[in-house]
Amino acid sequence: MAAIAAEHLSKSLSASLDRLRDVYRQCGDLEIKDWRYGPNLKHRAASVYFKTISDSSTNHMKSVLQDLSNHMIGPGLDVTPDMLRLFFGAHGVSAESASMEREWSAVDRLLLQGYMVLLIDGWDRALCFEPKKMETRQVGEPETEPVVQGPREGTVEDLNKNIGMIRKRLQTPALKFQFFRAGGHSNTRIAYGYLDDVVDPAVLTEFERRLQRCKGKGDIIDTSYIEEVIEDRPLSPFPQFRYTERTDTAAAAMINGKIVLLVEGSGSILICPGLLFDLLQSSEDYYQRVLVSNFIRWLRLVALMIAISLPSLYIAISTFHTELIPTVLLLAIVDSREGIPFGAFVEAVIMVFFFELLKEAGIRLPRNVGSAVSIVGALVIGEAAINAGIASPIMVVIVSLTGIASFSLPQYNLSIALRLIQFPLMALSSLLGGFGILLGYLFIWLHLVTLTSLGVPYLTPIAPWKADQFRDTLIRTKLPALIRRPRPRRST
Amino acid sequence: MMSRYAIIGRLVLVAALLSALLAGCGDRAEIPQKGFVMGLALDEAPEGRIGLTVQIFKPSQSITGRSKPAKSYINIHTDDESVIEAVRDITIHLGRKAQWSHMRIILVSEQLARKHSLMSLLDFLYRDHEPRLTTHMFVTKGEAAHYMDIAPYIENSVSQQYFLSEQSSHEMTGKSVAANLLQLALQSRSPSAVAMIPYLYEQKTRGETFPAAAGAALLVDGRAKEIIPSKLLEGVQLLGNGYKNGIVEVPCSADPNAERALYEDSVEMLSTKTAMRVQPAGDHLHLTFRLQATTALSELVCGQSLNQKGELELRRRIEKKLEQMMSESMEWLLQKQIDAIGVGNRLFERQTKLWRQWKPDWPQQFARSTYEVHADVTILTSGTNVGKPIDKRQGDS
Repeated sequence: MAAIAAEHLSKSLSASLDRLRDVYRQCGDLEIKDWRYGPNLKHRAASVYFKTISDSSTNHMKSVLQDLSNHMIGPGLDVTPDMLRLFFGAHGVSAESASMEREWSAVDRLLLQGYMVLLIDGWDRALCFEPKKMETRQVGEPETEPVVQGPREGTVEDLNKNIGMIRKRLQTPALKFQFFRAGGHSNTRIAYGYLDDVVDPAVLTEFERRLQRCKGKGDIIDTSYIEEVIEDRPLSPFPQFRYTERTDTAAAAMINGKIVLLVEGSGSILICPGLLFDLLQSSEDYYQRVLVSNFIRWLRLVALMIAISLPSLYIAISTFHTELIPTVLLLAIVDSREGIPFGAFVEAVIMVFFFELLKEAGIRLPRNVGSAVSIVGALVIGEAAINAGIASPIMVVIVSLTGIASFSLPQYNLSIALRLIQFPLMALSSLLGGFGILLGYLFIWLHLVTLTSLGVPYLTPIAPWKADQFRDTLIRTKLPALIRRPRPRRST
Repeated sequence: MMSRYAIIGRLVLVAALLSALLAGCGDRAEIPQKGFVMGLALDEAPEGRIGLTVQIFKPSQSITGRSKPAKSYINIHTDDESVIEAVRDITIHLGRKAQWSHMRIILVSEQLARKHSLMSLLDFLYRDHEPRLTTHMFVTKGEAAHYMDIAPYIENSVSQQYFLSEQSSHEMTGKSVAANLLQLALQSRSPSAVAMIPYLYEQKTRGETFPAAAGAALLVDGRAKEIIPSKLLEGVQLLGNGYKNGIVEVPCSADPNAERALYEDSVEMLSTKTAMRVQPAGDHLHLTFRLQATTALSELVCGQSLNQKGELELRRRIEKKLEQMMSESMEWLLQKQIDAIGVGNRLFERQTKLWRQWKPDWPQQFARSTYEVHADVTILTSGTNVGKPIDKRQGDS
């Protein structure tokens, strides 16, 4: 790269084309077209572009010539290289805006972005024409975060469009977006944005410091690559950042002092820092009436507890603390457990494992096959497993309740984390019963209180206690109280 | 970043905690390894031993639990010198560990209850951590084990049926009491030292026998002494402020020889409250009982419409009936010299000195008491808009 960077374009078209053919050898989609123009067609020019990423329907050569003949000189056959040089050198008005480059590094970069490069014999400049917009997905409702009520605008794979959608929601000069390129083979364009007057400078500084890690060396394909690079504790099961595909969620997060990070070619927006209670919230919390959204928040907290501990609670109670089960229920359980060859722990592990397997298969398979899998899976996990004597009906209930609870959490990466945690907890409870669950909780709490995201304690605002932020944590107070509050810089 | 020492430290901590397993403390057992005791029956066995019958829940053997076996319980009989010995012998027969936490009922035969103190018989159940102190109990007429062999009507096991009938008999009819291990201990160890345990017997109606939970065994110093018939038990519970809910029949005429069927009004007692006053009167005690009852009319057949006067009359009749019930029971208690209503407790609370003085011959002292009963009845509802008999046409009365 360094050798090329210093290199200037040569005046000779053949030399330039040779250089291009050398650098882009075996790139079958590079198109080099020769043109002749001027009196007796004796002047040479060439247009170079990747036909896979630029729109080749516009012939820039022709339009340039037309522009010239309209503006200056009459018939196109009279155009000479000097005229072109003069025209573009003086920034003459042209139908197609073109940038003039004199270094190979710039030309290479633009070429790879889909620009059409026009080289003219006898001139050591390249005219680079911006391509028409590439086809991207239409803006639609995000599939991962549907809401019943509220905006239905989701991100697409186009960075500019995504930022544009956010900017439309936050029409203030305080909204800053900074761009950089990741380098490497992907050389992905990355942008991060924040509200200048709300964001905590310490968090921003820390964020920028960590971003240095992925500058220049990483091959970044998706936002999640960056997440792992800048995370505080990559080995923790708990996600320390939050994802969204909703621009309204991103905007709301920025109002709360978060930093958002977007990557060209990915619709995922990374919201940093992501604290535990952020992960339990959904943008819809603010679109519903206050009582309803509070109810839903508590529902999620219960779901969180169920998703972590229901199988282990069942194991502990059925193997150690049977006296806790009401008699009639116990008799039903005894009836259903009779003849099951495995203990509660093994049974639970088998069923949970099957369930995870089924879930994974359902996600990875094409949609029309996926539904077949879920039907077969439901039969296998539900009816057949019971009839075959592998599992008891109560265990099927437990496993499915756990699954439902983990699905009801708004953040997918959090629900995966909980599924990871439930296995050690199940083991502990089968060894030590309720005491084991207690130990498990203790370890989870110890982990949570020491966890940070970009240096911010993970359990803020509960530990450390922040009364003003608590109003929007386990409960959500009325919106006027939340909106009117001047939002100071977070001193977290 | 966590230092290596921190990681090692945590691992050591986890290992230390897990080593608790090696000690083998903790009663880990899968559900199919346990036999759930539903009921326990205690009898006298030959050679002065104790006969134990344990009813154990038997899960349906089919895997899905769809087809029910004929019996969802089994009874195991063991004889031994002590209850705990007999309990341990269960395992010999069953092969599963007996789990006592869900025991529904304890049956003790009247014969055994008259011979031994119930508290020492059941000492194991008080001491062990598994049985609950809220386990209910019965004293049975005849052999207790026999009652375990009776097939249940609706419930899984007959133990559950006894448990439910004790509850509902006490709460809905007032003809039985409810007693659990805790209440037995509290009552037996109170100054009066009289405990009431519900009575279970077989009733023969039209050639069929049914188990019936009515009446109560009176335990003095832990041993069964008398059985109160269910009729008198209502009065005893009214006296002792233990009456929950029941039906009181109020005859139309005061003549005791008049025909009864369809010639008495019935009222449902919704709530009752009895205040007992214990006053020393010279060498004996004078007891005053004031009953406040809220009632609802259930049957009104005696033929009057409830205008103001009629309602007042009906109230008087109900009050009279209640007072009569209480007096009959009181007479019976005085005659049997059993303080089942806690007069001794009250005396101990209020006049400890006098109590100490009378304690040695308390049953005789109690028997010399005089008493008066008062009832105050509120009729809450007649069940109809105009409180008059249904079997009356317009213009009658």
